[in-house]
Amino acid sequence: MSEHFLAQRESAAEFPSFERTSGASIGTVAVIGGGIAGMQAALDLGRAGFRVLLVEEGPAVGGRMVQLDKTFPTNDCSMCTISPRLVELERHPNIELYLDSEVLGLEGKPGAFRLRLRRKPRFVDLNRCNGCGDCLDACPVVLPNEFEGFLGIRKAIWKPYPQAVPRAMAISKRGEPPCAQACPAGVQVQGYVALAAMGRWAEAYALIRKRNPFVSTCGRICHHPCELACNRAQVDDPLAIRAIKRFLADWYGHRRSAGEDPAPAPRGAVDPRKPKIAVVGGGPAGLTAARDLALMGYPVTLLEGSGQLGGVLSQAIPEFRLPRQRLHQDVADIVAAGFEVRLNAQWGRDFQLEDLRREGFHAVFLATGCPEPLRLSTDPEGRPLPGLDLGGITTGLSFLGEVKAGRLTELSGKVVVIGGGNVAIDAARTALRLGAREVELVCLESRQEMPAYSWEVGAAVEEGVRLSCGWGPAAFWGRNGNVEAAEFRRCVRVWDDCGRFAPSFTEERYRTSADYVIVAIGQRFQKRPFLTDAVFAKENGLLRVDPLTLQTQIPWVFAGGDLVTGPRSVVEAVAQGHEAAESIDRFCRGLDLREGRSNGKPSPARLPDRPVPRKSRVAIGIRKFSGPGDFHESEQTLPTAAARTEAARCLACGDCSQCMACVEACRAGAVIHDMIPEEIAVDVGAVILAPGVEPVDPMCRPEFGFGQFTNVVTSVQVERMLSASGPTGGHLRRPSDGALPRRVAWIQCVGSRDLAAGEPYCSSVCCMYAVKQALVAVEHDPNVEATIFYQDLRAFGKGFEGFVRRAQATGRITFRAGSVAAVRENPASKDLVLRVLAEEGKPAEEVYDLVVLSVGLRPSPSGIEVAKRLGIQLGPTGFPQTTIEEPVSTSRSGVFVAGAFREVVDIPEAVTSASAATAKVMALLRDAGRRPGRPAGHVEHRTAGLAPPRIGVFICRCGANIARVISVTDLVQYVSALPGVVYAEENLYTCSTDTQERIKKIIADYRLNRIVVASCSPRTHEPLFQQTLREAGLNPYLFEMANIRDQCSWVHYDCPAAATQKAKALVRAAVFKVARLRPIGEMIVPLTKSVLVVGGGIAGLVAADSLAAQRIQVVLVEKTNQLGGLLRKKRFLPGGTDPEKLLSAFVGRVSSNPWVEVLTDCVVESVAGHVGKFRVLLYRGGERLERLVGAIIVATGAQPYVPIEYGYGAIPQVITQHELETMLQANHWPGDFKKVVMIQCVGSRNEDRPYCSRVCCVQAVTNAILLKERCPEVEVVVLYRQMRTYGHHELAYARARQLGVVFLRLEEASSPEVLPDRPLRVRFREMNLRRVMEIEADLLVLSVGVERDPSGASLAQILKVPLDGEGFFQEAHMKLRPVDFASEGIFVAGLAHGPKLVEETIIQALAAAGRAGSLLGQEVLIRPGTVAAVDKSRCAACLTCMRVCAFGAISLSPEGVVQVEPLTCQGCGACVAKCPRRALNLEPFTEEELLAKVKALVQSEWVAAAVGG
Amino acid sequence: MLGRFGKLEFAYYPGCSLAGTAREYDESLREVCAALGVQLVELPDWNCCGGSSAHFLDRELADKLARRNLRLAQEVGSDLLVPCAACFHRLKVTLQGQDRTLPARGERRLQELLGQLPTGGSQEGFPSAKVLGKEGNSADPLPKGEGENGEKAATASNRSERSTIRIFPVNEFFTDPRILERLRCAVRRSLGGLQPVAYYGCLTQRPVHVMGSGNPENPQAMDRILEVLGTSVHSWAYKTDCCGASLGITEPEVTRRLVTTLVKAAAEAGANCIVTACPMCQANLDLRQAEFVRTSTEVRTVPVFYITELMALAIGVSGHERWWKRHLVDPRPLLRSLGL
Repeated sequence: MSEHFLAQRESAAEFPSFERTSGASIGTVAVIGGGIAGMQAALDLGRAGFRVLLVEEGPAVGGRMVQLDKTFPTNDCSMCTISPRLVELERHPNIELYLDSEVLGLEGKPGAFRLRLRRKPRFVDLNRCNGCGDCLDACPVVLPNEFEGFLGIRKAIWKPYPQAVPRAMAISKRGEPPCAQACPAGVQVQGYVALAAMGRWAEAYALIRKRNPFVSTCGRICHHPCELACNRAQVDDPLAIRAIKRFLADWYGHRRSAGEDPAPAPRGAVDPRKPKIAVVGGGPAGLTAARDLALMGYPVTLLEGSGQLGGVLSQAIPEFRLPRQRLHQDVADIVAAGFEVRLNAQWGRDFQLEDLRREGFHAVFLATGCPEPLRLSTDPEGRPLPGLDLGGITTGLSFLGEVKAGRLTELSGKVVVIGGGNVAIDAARTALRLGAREVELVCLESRQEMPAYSWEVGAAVEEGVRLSCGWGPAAFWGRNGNVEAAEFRRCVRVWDDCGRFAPSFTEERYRTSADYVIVAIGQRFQKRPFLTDAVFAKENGLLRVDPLTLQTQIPWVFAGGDLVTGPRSVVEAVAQGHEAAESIDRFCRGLDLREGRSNGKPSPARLPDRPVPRKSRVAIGIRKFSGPGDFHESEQTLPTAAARTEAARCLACGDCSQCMACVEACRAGAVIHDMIPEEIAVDVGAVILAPGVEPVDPMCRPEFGFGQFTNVVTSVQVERMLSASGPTGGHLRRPSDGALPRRVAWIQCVGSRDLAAGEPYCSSVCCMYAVKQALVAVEHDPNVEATIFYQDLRAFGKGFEGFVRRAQATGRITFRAGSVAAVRENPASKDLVLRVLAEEGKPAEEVYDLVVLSVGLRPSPSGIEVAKRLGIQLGPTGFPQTTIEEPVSTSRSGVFVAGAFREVVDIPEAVTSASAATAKVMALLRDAGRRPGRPAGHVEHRTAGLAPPRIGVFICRCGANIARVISVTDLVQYVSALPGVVYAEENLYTCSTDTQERIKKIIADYRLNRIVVASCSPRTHEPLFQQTLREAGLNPYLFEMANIRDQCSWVHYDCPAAATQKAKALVRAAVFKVARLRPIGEMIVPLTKSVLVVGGGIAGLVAADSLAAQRIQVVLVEKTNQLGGLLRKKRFLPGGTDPEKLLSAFVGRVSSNPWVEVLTDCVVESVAGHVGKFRVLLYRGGERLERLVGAIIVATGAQPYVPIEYGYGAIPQVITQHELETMLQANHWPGDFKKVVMIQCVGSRNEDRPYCSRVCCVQAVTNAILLKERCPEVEVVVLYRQMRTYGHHELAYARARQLGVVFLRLEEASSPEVLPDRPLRVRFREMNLRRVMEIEADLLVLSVGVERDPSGASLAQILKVPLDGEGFFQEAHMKLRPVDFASEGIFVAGLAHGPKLVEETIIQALAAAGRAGSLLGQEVLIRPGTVAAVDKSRCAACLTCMRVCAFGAISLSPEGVVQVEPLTCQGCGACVAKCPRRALNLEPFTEEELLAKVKALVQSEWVAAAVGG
Repeated sequence: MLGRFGKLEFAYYPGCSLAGTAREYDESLREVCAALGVQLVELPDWNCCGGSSAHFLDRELADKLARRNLRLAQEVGSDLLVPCAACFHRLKVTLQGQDRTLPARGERRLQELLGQLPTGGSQEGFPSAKVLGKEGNSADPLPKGEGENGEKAATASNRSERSTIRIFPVNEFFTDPRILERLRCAVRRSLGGLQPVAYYGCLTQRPVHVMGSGNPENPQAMDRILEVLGTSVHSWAYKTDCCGASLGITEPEVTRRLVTTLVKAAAEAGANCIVTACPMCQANLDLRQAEFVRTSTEVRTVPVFYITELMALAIGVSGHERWWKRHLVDPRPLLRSLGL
């Protein structure tokens, strides 16, 4: 398959034309990855009329950008910048979000793919959840918040960030927690532990009791398989789960004895129509089954042979382990379920099965236990051991039973207990308490092999029981019929190789004296003469049943518990009880007994892979055994605080604990815990892959101590700390003590530029984000001193140098070249000691309060997996393989790549590549059908007349978010009486889908013409309600929102009465304003489907080529007589691409393309009109041409700096890199040029041109490698200040060093001196060595920078678009609109925008073509009518408004007043605010409307009360 | 639960230190294992590991010395416990067969990235940091011939010897879940009051990708054992800093500085003793402290224990007094003051 791709790829490289597909393509595009790149691609394509499936693996879109605090170099708030996009995305009619979805595969061909997805269960219904957050309080599971860089916490049900789209919550599950899975009874262990950690005792208790009614009992004697499975054991010690359960049981018992019942036991409502059930046996299994069935409504009768319930629990477990009243507590709660109990009714003695049948029982559950002790015998035939009939020899069970019943209260002398199980241990410890002088426990097994639980053995030994392990009984000796001694044989092996019980003995003997012998070697099912083998098959003396259903061979008889399993623990008996109840229920209802039941379980959730600090397990108090007669409970209950602390040790392995608290809390019924994964196949025409990157694990440099020292944090964590909505509310704080740090160090290149442990390439963004973080930190806190330890400060982007200078100008940010060797911690202060090179170049230790690791970025493993499933080829560092000429195409035709997954880049480059990918998609799918990229129900201008207001008010309860503080009912009542209001109601969620339908109906029924919604923020919800109005036939601008949640109930949660008053005022203000609103229409603009491209360099050529492929007419204007621009001067490109071949391919394609009109020797003279219809006047060879275009792309390029430094022009051996390339191309290197010196930053980063030219370092390294490869004997020295080989160019830098190119670092402020001898001598100050050096050069090569093209200024004036300080074109927004101008319909690409490499130019040109194509892809342009209007009578033509308008929308009309071009106006309102005559107005924010609102607000009783009070 | 049907038997390579200067290490280890029901089978006729000088002087000899020991362990047929850190290091390096490629790792990765070497896969061959920590201790003792020495060794050895054994240093050995559980049950006397820092030294941790320890800067195994013994183990930042043992004779001043730093850091961390599992570290810290620190006014000496000595103390096996006498910084006053 890959060969096929390769073949295609080669031809594509030769002729990178747009693939055409036969037949109509599918007009649907899958965008994989919901980060900023994916969002951009989706929005561009959606606008152009494509159906877009945005596939995101997480629960929300937004990617990495939403985690950032600010963005460099403008320090704009990242969240504020992106959130309008989020809203636009959510509301876009052409974009469908596929959240929680992963890609499985892609079949088919370009234009007609089938994409297979798997949607993971979210456990929350997206259509029902309104994001109100009521569930957040209910959820007990506290997890480290990955969105906050693990600094904050979150719940198992969560939303990554408040503005997240979609607004719905999601539940994270990692599988069933091992504890819950290990629990035979199926208790949601993690759930009750989580509830206990929050002190929600009653809920925790009730959650256990749901599945295990023996809470108190199991809190004491459970063998706790949950603890044995606990993942925490891999870190330190398992959680003390049983002790927590015991605490809960005792807490509950305490409350009960105080007369309260905080968790009433569930009671069944007996349904007399249901068949009667009999349960035989009142032990744990029987009681559980009886309770379950009673709760299901069956009439249940429980028959117990003895006089009390509880079975072995009440008869044999010693008091010091399970006090009687504790068992009674459980039994009482069980019986409360409602079933009949018949005591002293023994099966076989008092009744037979037939009797039950006769009495009308429909089914029977037998659970009579295993009460008969095994007897010692010498051989398999069962002959008893000699002397076994002596007096003083008894069995464990009868001994314990006698003691429990109070018939045996004292012992004396020596007791020998035989057996290594739990009963033996109980017997031994009981014997001690009865007063035995000595207790010896003799067993076959070694201590490690004893079947008793090791902690029980330990307790016995602690109390004084002597163990004699490895002995099997041989005989008993007695006198006068009473036992006197016991004799044992040495047992060398208990089990055979297959694990079967097969003890083997030697002749070694051991004899010990004994006054009593207690034999406790096991029990079995009681032999009953009335049970015939024909009915009950038996194995090992146990009853045989179907292990899954517990059904016996008599269909209506079920059996379980010890009777079936042999002696087992309580919790296992409970499990059997549950199974039996389930089977009997199915049996009674005539259902299949087996369906959906199995013994297998999926593998449990593993230990979370985050670092877990060790924390010791709570010590369980043991009451010291004080000697004979002490039957007090030995184990103590946990103190309250300890129970919470211990519960908080839980790692929440499953994330969600399945406690179902959220289900109860959710009023919208949105939580669905049994959702299952869903596989989806969708037909798409093309795929854009933008899964993004993730931070490199900082543990790759363990010497920096991340994870070990609390005050070493990552840059991601710092972003969250600096963010106002982050875990520290915008303050940089030390995690160790929350203190504000003073000395903060940033360590750069952690995991980047690291061939040994991290990623080999440069992550491109870290230098700048570190500078930004340092700057924000010092500006935020006047005490912060920042130090940045860097390798090269890579400030190569637009405006970056200025940003660094701004940081330096603070005087509190120190930049230090060179890394840090290691970080150590002062254990007391938690300060960090950095091992660094000090000023003199000597190692030193410096102390900092906080260390920030600037972690690099790498393709996310899930992204790599997706790429593999899509069948695209990845390069050695995990990024897709692309070429310079096809920078956004992958090895698979029809699959494009965008964003940081293409190459680690900053936001604007990610956005640019996304638009570039859409250009490729729009060309590929140009034949596909499209659909309108706008909401249904377009509104004509001023359709509705101004009828008297009939206002409807909808007040949202927002679940409990508003209603728990504000009295919504009061509010409705109040609002109903306001003038103009004809209808008011409250809704649980006004935004829910069903409420929208309701609103439409009410609008019709009540003939409403104005609507107010009182709920949350218009920022997120206004478009939704406006759409509802539109669908109801109402003008969407006759609408107003009152924010009574964010601005009222949330902020005034502590004073509900006043909050209700304020809510009234807010709604009143909205009502008063809405009454004055007038309908506003929308403007429809036809679009001219052609584009003017100014500039015939590579940027213009690529843009023209791409637009032509999209079937958009292009007018390409070039001022010289030749196409090609600056690229014509290039001879070599990084990566070995031939620039001439590249250029000629594009020139050839464009020149011969019927869709492109090439005009050389041509300039733009003037431009009039607006987006969609620009009238362009061109001047060419003395004639004027007019062209009508819908959009304009500026690609006028730049020019190389012509140096005046270093004797260039005067000394022939001083040349530029371009000239060196020409020499290299000639392939004849002059033999006497043995020493070549290159000087970087010539004409860049100086006073005249303070910016970095970005391309020169890569160019120098490329040429140095070429030179070294061709002439290895030539010495090449590069003199640089900062080596800016960003991204994968870092590998070329490493390669150059490997080839022996010498790089010497100049001091920042200095420049070398050239002495014009022959050979030349270059004198400079080397920074690392800190001394002046002089080297010889046969050839001196100047790496010259890039300079603006002087023609740009006039074009900027013609187009009314801005230039930046350096004379390059200024884009609309540095991050999110990198190829747009603020004026709609005009785009920029290439060097005209700023210095960049050829590949970046091509991407940007494609992006401009994509943006233009997306704009012109619409049927018509629809613009909102919310634009400024001029009151001509008031205008004094002072032109203030013209000056403040950022969009050039205002001009002076022939009448002498200003006029607003409505299609250019963006409705920002700046002119309205500035106009001194109030001649400008902007609906719906007119003076009248706003004043009405303000008056209504302040004339309230609420204000009056506040002022008066 | 704990290997009820499986025996716990290990091959045991004491090495020369444990037969000499670190006798107390050997004795305490054997006592502890006996108490836990773990059987140690000393390699019959084991030879020098080559750790002291052979690996400096003659790589082939060093290789062969280690290989012979590994072969003996295979003959015994059990996984091998190697308490001495230096011996472990030698055996492990040989087992992994990777030492010769070490210096060129970055270089090789660059060549691979630039397409000069066959890559054989996108990112395999040079595991990134995440993978590094997770290499097991299991490997073929006779790795595929790689480079000159590897080929020689491969031809010299018998194919039938190929099998897999694992080797364990003491810390990893005792944190094996089965053995740790036994230790937990066997502890009779909690060593409360003892506030150690765990000092791992360099030999069992580096080179990182050969030793495969999960976190070479902050290993945890010994800390876990010390917690099980009931001590209040302190975290500190110097777990794997150099103790300077190898420079004790040639550069005593460097050693003095390193030892002083460690002892001082231990005190700052609040420790009253240092615990190690390396005979070189123990000897160096114990001896140099006695030499240097005793005279210092700013730092106080602290006893340096072998981890196995403390295990023995907690389990309650006999013989401590014998061992304490061999320590140069006498631990008895500390133990007495804590009632241990």
